[in-house]
Amino acid sequence: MLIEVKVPYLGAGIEKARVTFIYCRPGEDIAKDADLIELTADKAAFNLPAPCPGKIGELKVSCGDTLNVGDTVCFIEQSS
Amino acid sequence: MEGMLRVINLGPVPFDPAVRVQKECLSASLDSPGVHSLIFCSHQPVITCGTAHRASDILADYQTLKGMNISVRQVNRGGGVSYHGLGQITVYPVFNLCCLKRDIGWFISRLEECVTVFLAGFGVDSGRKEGFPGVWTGNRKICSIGVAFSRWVSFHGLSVNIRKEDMLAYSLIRPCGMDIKMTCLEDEAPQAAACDYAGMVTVLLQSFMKVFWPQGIRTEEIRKCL
Repeated sequence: MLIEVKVPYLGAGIEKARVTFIYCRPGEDIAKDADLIELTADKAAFNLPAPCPGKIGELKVSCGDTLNVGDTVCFIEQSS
Repeated sequence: MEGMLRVINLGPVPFDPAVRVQKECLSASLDSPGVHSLIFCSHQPVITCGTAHRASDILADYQTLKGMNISVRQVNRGGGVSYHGLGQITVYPVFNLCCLKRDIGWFISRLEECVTVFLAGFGVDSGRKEGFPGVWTGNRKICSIGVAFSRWVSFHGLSVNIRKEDMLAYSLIRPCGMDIKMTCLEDEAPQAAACDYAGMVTVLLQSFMKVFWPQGIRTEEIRKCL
């Protein structure tokens, strides 16, 4: 199953966050809770974890991108 | 009363060992979500560069910093450039927000409130400044905040300027990438000079308990040999 990973709700008043680091690569196998990307909003850096184990599919973001809550970060082909 | 707060007072410590202690606490909280840690220390002089820093925010050259025994560290917290020294108290709250509130803005505002309550104990009127995280007394910044999260567990934290001795070092950087005036508790409340580091930590701990766990939480003091 293909899982879409989106920028989660980060808090009241935080609608945007900047991608400051990318931990994963397309095609890479990844464990549940492994860090996918680092988002920075206000004075906080937030590591977005993988919601499931699997293989990273398309990565929709680049370092420096500003993302809105709900934007797609990547797709993960979930492993059983 | 759910959960547990581990209180770790490292005292004066270089930056790197404190990072290791934070990582241990982070693992403990990820393994047991009800476990939170609160680390107090004061750092030997170091400039830290957060994810939003620019090289131009460090105004002194490498040789100058080396001559002053000030090291530089790249860190994965939010924010720009910050200075830490022995005249501050640095606090690293490693809290699992899954057990508190999954809200970064809420967490930062609570940290600011902890410091405001702490400063009020010395008669200092302080507060937030919209759009400029940290704690301010008038237009002077007395506390810097920069945090990070792994699976909603916080690390890094805040520094409160206590003693005058460190204030000159702020001329070496643009704190948080801004041209702002920094201040310290001794300048705002000279009577605070009578309170030592241990006394300050006690008051800060009480502030954290009041703001984050007004209903109380089991605490455990953890000693660390670095």
